[in-house]
Amino acid sequence: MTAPRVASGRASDARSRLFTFLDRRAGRLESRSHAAAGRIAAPTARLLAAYRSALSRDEWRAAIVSEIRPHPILAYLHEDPFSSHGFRKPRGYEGDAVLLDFVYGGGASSVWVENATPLGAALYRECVRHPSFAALRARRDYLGVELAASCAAARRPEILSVACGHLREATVLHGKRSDALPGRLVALDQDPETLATAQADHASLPLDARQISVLALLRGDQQLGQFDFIYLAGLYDYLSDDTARRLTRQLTDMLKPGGRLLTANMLPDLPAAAYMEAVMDWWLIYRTLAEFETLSLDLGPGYRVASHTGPYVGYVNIEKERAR
Amino acid sequence: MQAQPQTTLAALEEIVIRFAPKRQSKSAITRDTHLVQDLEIDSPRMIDIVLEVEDRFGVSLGDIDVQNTTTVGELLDLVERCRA
Repeated sequence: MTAPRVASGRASDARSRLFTFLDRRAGRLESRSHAAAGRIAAPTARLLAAYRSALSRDEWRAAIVSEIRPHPILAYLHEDPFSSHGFRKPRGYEGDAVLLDFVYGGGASSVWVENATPLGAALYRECVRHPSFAALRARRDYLGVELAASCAAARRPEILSVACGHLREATVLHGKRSDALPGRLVALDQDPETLATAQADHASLPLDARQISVLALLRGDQQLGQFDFIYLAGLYDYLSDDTARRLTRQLTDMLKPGGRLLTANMLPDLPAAAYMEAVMDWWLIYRTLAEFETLSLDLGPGYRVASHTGPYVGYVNIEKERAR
Repeated sequence: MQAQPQTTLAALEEIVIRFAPKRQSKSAITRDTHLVQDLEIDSPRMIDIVLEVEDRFGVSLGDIDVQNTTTVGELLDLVERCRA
């Protein structure tokens, strides 16, 4: 394979280490069983990350197209149903709810995992154990804790989940007494199939699932009312700064006095970012906590903003102050 | 006074290039340029483009119309229809 014109010795070294590893692993997979190939996904992720960090963004995109995707290892890596789903984008967009079910385990991903090849199943297990994807499970768990806390803090609160996906964090509310549930749980998503799954899987909750696009939400066309708690899991990972700022303003306008908006964004040090981009064609907009906080700078008085980080995820919590 | 189509096309090219993940020179953009296949514009970047177009031209583009827009030329036609 012809080496791309890379500017630095660091890039050249990283490229050499990556392709030496990929060539050897692809060779072993071709000639022997998958068990003989050893661990593949995690070392690939680490070597891809090193190569990505040595290139400019444009060089990285070019390297993906010209040398990483054509490598024979990709066909093996795509036997993992999770990586393959990310790459194929069967719903027509990145990061759909089924992809996250692969990370969480079970749900809509089960049928794909059960039908995977032995290599695909092994790669899937290796992939989702990676700390980057453990971080997504931690984010779901944290949002679940916050959701339950909101239900405990107010009687029958009104809650809005934006780009709700399969709403897996709401599983923490299953089996709760009715006075510990939201009075109204409005779940918005652009994908009707996703909403149908959310409704079926949370039948015991007072779910008001609505197919509403981010554009419609940004325009304020919808009369959704006001909420005690609004949250988003992964949407900001896809929005530009300008759009995320607009959405923050729009959503804070929908808070009741004393209500709060909780948003999350993946941090730039996510170790699997290069793997996600090169192997899964899954591109996020990573923000440092400082960059993430700037999205709420133009809110003006009347809001309290606090931020913190979890594993590879930043959180910004915006509370609308009560009138004095 | 209403801007001429070519002026609108030039403005649209500028907006599309700004948000396209795949870098393209302005001269490479034509009416037939495919937003997804040629410029890798996904749905979040389309949101950016629609918001910018709406601000710049003072129009409101329908969700369904936007979903059915696949090329720069179709986007231009949609904007022109909304401005008429």
